[in-house]
Amino acid sequence: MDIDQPAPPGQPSLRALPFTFTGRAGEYFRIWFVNVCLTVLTLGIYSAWAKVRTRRYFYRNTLVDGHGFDYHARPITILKGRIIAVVVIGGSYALFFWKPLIGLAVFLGWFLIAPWVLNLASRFNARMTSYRNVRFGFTGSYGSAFLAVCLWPIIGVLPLGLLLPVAMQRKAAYLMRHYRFGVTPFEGAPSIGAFYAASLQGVGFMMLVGIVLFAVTMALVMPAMLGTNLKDPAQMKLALAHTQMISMMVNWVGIVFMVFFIVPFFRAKTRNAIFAALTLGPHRFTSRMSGLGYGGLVFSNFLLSVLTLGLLYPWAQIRQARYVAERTALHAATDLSEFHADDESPGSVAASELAALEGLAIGIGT
Amino acid sequence: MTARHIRGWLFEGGRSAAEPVVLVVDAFGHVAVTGAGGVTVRTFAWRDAQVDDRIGDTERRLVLSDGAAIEVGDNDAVDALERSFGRGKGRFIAALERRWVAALAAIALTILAAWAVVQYAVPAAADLAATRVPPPLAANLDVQVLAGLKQFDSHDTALPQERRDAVGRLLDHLVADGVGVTPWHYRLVFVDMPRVGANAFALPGGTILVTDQLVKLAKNDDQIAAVMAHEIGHVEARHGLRSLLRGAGLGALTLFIFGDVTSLSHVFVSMPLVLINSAYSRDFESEADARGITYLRRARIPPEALVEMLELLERDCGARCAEAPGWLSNHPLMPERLAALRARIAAP
Repeated sequence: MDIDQPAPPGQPSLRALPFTFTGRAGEYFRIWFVNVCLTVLTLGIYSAWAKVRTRRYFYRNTLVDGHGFDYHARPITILKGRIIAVVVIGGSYALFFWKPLIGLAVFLGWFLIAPWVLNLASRFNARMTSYRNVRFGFTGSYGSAFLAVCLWPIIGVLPLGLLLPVAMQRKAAYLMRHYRFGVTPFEGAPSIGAFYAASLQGVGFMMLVGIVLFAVTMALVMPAMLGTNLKDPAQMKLALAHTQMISMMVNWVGIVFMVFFIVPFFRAKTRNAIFAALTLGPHRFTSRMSGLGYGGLVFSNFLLSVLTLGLLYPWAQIRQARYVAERTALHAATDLSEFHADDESPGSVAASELAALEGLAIGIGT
Repeated sequence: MTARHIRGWLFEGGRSAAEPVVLVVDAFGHVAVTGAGGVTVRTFAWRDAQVDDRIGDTERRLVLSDGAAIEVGDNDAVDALERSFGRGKGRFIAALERRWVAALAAIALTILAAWAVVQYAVPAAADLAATRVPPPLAANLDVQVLAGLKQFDSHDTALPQERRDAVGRLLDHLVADGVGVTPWHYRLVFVDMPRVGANAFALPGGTILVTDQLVKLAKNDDQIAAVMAHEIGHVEARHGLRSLLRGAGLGALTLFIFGDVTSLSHVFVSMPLVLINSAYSRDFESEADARGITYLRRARIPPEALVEMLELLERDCGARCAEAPGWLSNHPLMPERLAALRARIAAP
């Protein structure tokens, strides 16, 4: 659907404002190296400063209509949050380890406070982000967060996982509806059909890869098996060890492919659906990421980063940010001058760092 | 110094409306913000504005006392004004980030520092922490490891009860007469491990794991006692705890640095199994050998039994040696180790 067609009478016409990314690999290389070096030299303390500088570099280089985003968290705040998060998570795992029963209770507790952590973390990250001198915000209630991130995943898994796409759609819808830009709320709910389509394609890919990897395993294992005298226990042992090693390696290839190809593939598809439904006042959004293209990009980024022992990692990050920005657009109904800030409380940095460590995905596709 | 002109965008506090402006800065650091038609819309002293750090060549903001912000792209001009009138913070890092030499030096320094941390700082901290772990707490770990043993193709022992009791009495004798007063509570566990073969492990909390295959391989009880004396050496010197905490320390450090990437769970979940999988360092092995000899002597068991047992084990493992953990993992160094043992036994 083309959004930028002439508007029907009575509605403002929309102006397409593509996102651009102006970061350069050479420049970011130096920032990254200094970050890594100082982080190691300070035994991790500088990591908080590094995080802020990295975010600012990426946010400020992401432009819409000639203005960049910005990130405002103070490094010392991040550091405190990070320490709290490490102590809390480390403590609960240690407890699980020493006293499994108490540990189990702690994990149940985690489940119950997860919605609260998600809300505080989303709020912190939103409040620390600005565009045109106006901060973003997030207002979610415990109840609806509990439905979206605790209850729906369980409902989704129960009937053979058939409702999982709905669960993911519920979470996306929860997040998009509770973000705000200044006092103006974001609205919209992505189509469930798009989540099902993306899931089906993802599962299809996984099965395809599974078949290919199985064939590869067989091709590698069979020759050794055929040459084995099954009656000789020593030879049998050796063949078994050989098989075990190969299947372990193939397993790893499968996991890497899953994490670095299928997950980004799914993200790209669902992000398109989320942005198609997203509105901010009279303004709309589009995301035109290609599932295969983005999956391939993340996968090749991973391979290149690993093969160069991390040396190409900064370049890969820049490449990814540029890809995402260039396929995103804001369709503005005005000159964007009408927004103004509110004075909501800033959320919790500890929650944000907890969420980051626990891998809770927050944010709408950014 | 003549007045400087810098272009930018002015935003009133908490408003998204952008007004193109030119900042005119005089020789004293007074700034006149001029809008369309050269009209001065506000004035401020450069010193009073909060100037964001420079990061690469990104646009940065000057935040005024009333919350208004000015986005400026001319970083070099802002840097020059900061040098003349500003409070001068955050300049050092930005200067480092702009120089390739600094970046390359940073790589070299990073590698050096990472090596020093991994080689010295983490082991030292872990060793210190290991001396503070109370033995009953460590015994909890043993329970976890034993529960995880199933993955290693281990079966219930097939040794007859009287044989097990005999080996148990050997251990009691070793501990009572050889080790003496100890905070550790020793416990003997037999397992049948056909794939691992003849082997023994010391768990951090004082559990000594002996395979059926080892008991069958030994020619006499002294040789079994010798293996157990070596394992007791590992426990008394807290080798298990030290390796465990070294691994955990490295994991925690990695987590702290790359906090955004990984999940903590891997570090802790994999901990107990790492114990059996990874070999002790060479230093730990020779320390355990030395302690073992002392305990054997005090218990009036000939320490030569340890040498005999090692030789038996080496001959037994054959092709399996390369992949076997624990006792035999330092196989290529076995001649060296035996020589060191013989020298120690020969010494009074």
